[in-house]
Amino acid sequence: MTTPRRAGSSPFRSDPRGTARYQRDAALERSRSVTKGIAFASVAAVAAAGVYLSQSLPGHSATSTSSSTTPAGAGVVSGSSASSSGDDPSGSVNPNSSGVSAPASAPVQAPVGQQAPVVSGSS
Amino acid sequence: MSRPTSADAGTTHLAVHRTTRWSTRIEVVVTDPAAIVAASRLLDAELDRTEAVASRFRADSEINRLHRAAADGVPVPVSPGLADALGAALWAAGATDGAVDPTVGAALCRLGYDRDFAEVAPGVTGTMPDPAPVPGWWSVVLDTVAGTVTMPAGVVLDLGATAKARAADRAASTIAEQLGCGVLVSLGGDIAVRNAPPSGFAIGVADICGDPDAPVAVCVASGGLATSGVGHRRWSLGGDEVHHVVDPSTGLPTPPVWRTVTVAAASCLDANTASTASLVLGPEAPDWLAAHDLPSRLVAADGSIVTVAGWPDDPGTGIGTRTHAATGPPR
Repeated sequence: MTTPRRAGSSPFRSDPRGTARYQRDAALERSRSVTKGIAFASVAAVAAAGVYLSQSLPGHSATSTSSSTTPAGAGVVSGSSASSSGDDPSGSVNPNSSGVSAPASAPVQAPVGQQAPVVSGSS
Repeated sequence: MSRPTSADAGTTHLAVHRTTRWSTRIEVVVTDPAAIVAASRLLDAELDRTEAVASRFRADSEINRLHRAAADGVPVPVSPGLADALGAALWAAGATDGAVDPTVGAALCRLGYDRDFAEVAPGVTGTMPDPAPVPGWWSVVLDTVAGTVTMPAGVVLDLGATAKARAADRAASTIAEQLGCGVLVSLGGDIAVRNAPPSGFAIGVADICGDPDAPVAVCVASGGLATSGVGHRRWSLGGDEVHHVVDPSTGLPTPPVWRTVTVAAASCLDANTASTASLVLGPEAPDWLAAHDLPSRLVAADGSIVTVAGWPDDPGTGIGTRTHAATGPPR
């Protein structure tokens, strides 16, 4: 037959060693809760600071009307017509391109005697 | 001034149309000679649009209206054309970590380049300004959803290099699409290629655009090719010789590490961005180009030549040419 527990009471009232164990476990549990709270608070604080800094540091600006930013980060705030580069025959652009893109193939030396209709140089 | 001519590229008969604009050579080459007149009209229309939105030298251009309207934190509505040109410039800035920065306009004005180059070329009065960084491309926010630009008052944008390259890409794409032929568009040596003949378009490479004695010719099958250099567009500022490529970190002309840099890339905008950045990066340029796998030819101030990422050796067994291998990650 078991004795009904009272809220807040030790289940080991008649056993001094059991009471000590219970108090130790309860203390550990309280300590774990406090540690967990500190951890959650730290993560939340770091996240909040990150959001704040991402909007205030140079190179990470944003506006409320944008849905996303370009990979390059600042300057351009996104949109369906955000500009970038790319060899697209339609003339449209690739907003996700963050770096300068290499050609499909490298130039080759022109055959000797072939006339070049244009000359690239500084202008 | 304009004149249509013709040229043979292997078995492909090419038609060429040349004119002058923005103090530079404008050329369009098509693989269908019957399409040359229509192609030159489409190119003209694209250049008209670009000039109307992006010219620093026209008081009525949209970019100058933006300069007048700009105020801290106040979004200014812009047209899709200016949004496109500015978007290309900001993309170039991001892709080069700010080496190519559109906020160099005021620095160029301090150097005397505040009007069409034909008026600057004879020389201007003034003194060399002290070094000072430009405002920075990150201070300009383009919202393409709202169609607005927000930037501080006093920032002067110079979209020159990227706007020209972007115009070449757009014109070449439009001509290829509407006329169904192969096309090469060259705006002062910034070249876009679409639907090239099987052997590609032959392109001469020289220090100065249009030099008939170009020492090198390569064939390009797609994308773009651009040359940036400091041998042209130089002028005297109160007795000091200056040029038009500004280092954003100092607001002054770049030091003379490279005379010219020619880059092949996926588009003319990519190529021009990389060639301009190379002049600013100076000694770091070969590593940066190699890390991005961009075939390039760099001519140093002393005339020595460095090739990168598969750019073919100069004729004459490559004498004087050094091939550069990547030594690190992109900057």
